[in-house]
Amino acid sequence: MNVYMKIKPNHQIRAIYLFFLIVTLQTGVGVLTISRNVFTFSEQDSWLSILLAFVGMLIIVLVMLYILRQYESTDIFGIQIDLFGKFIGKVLGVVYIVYFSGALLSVLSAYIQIVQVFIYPTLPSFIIALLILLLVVYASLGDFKVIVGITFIFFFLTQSLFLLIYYPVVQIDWNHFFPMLQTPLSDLLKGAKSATYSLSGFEFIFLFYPLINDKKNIKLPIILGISYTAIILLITSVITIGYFSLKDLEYLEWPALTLYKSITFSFIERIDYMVVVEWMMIIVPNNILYMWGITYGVERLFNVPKKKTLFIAAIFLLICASFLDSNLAIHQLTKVISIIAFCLVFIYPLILLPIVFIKKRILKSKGSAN
Amino acid sequence: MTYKHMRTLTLIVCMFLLVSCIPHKKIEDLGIITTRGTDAIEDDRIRSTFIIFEFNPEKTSSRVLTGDGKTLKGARINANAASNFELAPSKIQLELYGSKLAQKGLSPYLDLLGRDSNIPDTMYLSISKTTANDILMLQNKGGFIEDIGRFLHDVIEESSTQEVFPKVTFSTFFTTLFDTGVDPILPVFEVIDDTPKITAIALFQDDQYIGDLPMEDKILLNLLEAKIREQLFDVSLPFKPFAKYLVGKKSENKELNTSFRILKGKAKSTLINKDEVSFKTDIKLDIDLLELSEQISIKEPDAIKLLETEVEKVLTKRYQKMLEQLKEINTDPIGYGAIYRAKDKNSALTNEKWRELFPDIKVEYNIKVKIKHHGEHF
Repeated sequence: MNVYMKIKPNHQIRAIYLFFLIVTLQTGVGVLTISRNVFTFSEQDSWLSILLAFVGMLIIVLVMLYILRQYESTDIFGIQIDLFGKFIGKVLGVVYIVYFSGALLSVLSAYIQIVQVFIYPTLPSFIIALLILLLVVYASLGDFKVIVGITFIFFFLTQSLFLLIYYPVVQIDWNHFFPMLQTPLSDLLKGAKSATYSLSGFEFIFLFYPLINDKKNIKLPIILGISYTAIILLITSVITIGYFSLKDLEYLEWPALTLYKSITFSFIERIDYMVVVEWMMIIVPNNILYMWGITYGVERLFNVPKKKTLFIAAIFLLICASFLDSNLAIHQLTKVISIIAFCLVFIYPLILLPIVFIKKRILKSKGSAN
Repeated sequence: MTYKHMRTLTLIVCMFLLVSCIPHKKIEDLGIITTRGTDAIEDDRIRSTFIIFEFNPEKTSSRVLTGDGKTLKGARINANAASNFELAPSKIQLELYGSKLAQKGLSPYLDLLGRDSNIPDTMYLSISKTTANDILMLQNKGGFIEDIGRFLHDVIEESSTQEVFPKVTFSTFFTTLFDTGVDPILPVFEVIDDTPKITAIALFQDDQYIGDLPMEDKILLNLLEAKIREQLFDVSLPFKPFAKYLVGKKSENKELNTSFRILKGKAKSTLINKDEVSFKTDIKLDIDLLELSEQISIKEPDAIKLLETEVEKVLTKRYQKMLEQLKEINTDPIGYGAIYRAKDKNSALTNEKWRELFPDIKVEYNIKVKIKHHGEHF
């Protein structure tokens, strides 16, 4: 396997699309639960925790870009092999792929659970998983450009969902945010850490890098993308904290969905049903991108054709999703995934940074010595 | 047919067949519950009264069903046994609780509403002065009420132009219930001459119904709750100060009855002294004069000024009186506790602690009334 990748320009995309890719990867089911997760630690100062998490994310993104810039055109799999040698590099690559599968599974099963709770309590998980995975497989059969196109279209289709929450906004009780700045820093950081599950997704920059045509312009769309997600998360958590009572929020499973329950129009009584269904437009492209990550990674590491991995992964996910049908199991999975996400997405680049730095230094001094 | 055509055709066929994977219900087989009444009966059992809506091919109609059980679900199943429909709760618009049940506490019943995602959050909650069954059974009496559930729902809608009392939705009630330092309120229905009317404001201590406020105080509470527009209210002023502006004959009345429309009303409460637990509430009212019970010359600016100050005085008195009543039964629907909590640095205020503090709080009401239009004589 080559560390450096040569990709034909007609298979590459323009940097601006990174914005849509990153926003789609970051908004899965995380938006729905974020306010509760963060609230358990930092209570009325949750917004501060999310801002802290955003600053952390910004630093990590800059670190990731620095690492990638040290190489001409490669992805994380190439970098790991370059740094740690073939064996360890591949093992670390597998860790990434396992994480992608886990993240996909957790988003998928959480969404299935939402559909079952809200609309069809008797519909088996197997059927919903099958229907969603069929779409995912179908889209993944196209090349990377098709996937980018899907992400682009669905991004615009789903934004209207956020306009609907105007009613709860009017009802916000600002007293809920007081007394301000009372949470100790340790709790704020714990809250920020719990937001990482909802923020993870930008680790795909490590994969997308060689596929970008104009690598010079990469910074702006990425930063805009993560800021957009952070703003959405911030707004949802401010609204949920202002709208629901403080004690209430700890018990709500999906605070953001419950917001939609209190909106009603004369022509649609239950807007929440529509929202649950429309949420699929957020879930499907998200899953497609994770699936692309899996197939791309396996092909890069072991030279297995994408189609083969795709079908095997889809069947494996289908089986897992059918058996994951209790609240508790899904919670457990999400917990494990969020721990892995925190280590892999937020900590790992910081470990890579000095190694890359030292390695480049050594190479340079060697080069000058020669 | 080429391979490509075959593939497209298979996909289209799949699209239609897969639709049946999803369980469906026919609307003609459903009894849509629009209103549910809940009462406590003996042995910890509850009686549910449902107003259901049936879609017949010929005519859609409403009817009453009752069922007993230990839980709400149990009561629904019991009621279902007496009907040829499947009862569907996803369009409940109104929940009516009997006063006995409400006195014991609403929490167990609210918990179910919050837990079942099928039940909408937008329904209104209300209390019956007697039992919920008494009111909902009016359905069978006929008369001008075609659907009692719809009727009660509309009474609530009509008596509040904004999102304020008596429009108390499940989500607002639940939020207020769980908030520290504020107690929820609900409208109380009473049957007068076979017609249900909202006659009082139910006060709660946590989830327990403990007393009433008269309906006239609605406007006082609403003013503190939100920005008010387009609401009517009546004030009785002492007649004496107006004697010199009287035009025409003097009547026997000792009071001057007036009626106003609020153009704009807003209020702001602040904590002024934390140790003494004293508050200040500023209320600004822009109003239109609509009615005067006596012929008074209001062309002179002094008369308008006098009218404004008299209204201010009377409203302040009414606010103080209401506060005394609330203190007596120790419940805080205005939410002074929430303001106190927001200023409490350690945020250690609990509802229990607020119950100890509340009877001793002091509130200063500063009311500024401005009469914008006073009408002309034609």
